[in-house]
Amino acid sequence: MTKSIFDDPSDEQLAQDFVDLSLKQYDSEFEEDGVEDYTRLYHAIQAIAAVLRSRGVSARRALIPLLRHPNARVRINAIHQLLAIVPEQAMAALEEIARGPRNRERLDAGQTLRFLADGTYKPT
Amino acid sequence: MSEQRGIITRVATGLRYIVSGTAPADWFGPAQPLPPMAPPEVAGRSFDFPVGVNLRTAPRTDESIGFRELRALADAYDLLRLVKQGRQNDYLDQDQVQSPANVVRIPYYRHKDVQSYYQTPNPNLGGLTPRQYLRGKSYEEQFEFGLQALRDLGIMK
Repeated sequence: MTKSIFDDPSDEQLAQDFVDLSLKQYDSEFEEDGVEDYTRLYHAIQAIAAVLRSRGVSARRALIPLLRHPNARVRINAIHQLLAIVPEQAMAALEEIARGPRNRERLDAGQTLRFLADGTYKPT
Repeated sequence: MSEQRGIITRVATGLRYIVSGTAPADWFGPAQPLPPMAPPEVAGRSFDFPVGVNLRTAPRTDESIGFRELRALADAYDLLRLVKQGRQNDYLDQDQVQSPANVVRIPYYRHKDVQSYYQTPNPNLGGLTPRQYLRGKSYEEQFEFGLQALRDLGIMK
């Protein structure tokens, strides 16, 4: 039986889509004209996060294993969804990226840490 | 004594002619270095006077970083303004925006990284792009934001 578009994907399936899109977003950082792709993928990832949020805190917990994903873009996208749920784990992962190679992910992580410290960014 | 000095000078001139092939009459021919003229108490110069400069067609051919290297450097490095110029920053003091203090030279591909960062949505900024977020902010705030981005990217210290 084929899967209907009306079937609700499971939390785990959404988490897998979250990973796939984050990896594509990471690749788009290296494209010559990757801005459009990056933006489109950002909104797609936010849409998945919104579905998980609408299902409650337990659904977002499906993203917790992503804090140990080998790709930093996957980790940092997950961190933003988890800072309010598992702050210690998320902060540890964030600080690790902020100490890592000097790239776009480190830039985002460093900025998140600064914005958390000065109250500009309040995770929900 | 003066006759003796004259003989020594003439012998030295003859020897110089044998070694260099420069006749005594050609005291300052093309591509011919000036004979040392400094008094003995002077230890010497670090650099000799360049010779044959009027025969060179390309600039800075005898320097370790020549024109070719400088040209390549200029081509490979882009100018980046920490506070962007354009309509969105019309309200800022344009002398500050155009000032050299607002400009850094960074490699072409790093410039691309910074440009795409400014144009893409950012969860730290509520989903706004940095460009949208900085709209209406002061010169100092925009400058500090740009500087911090370059530091995080490892472009500046």
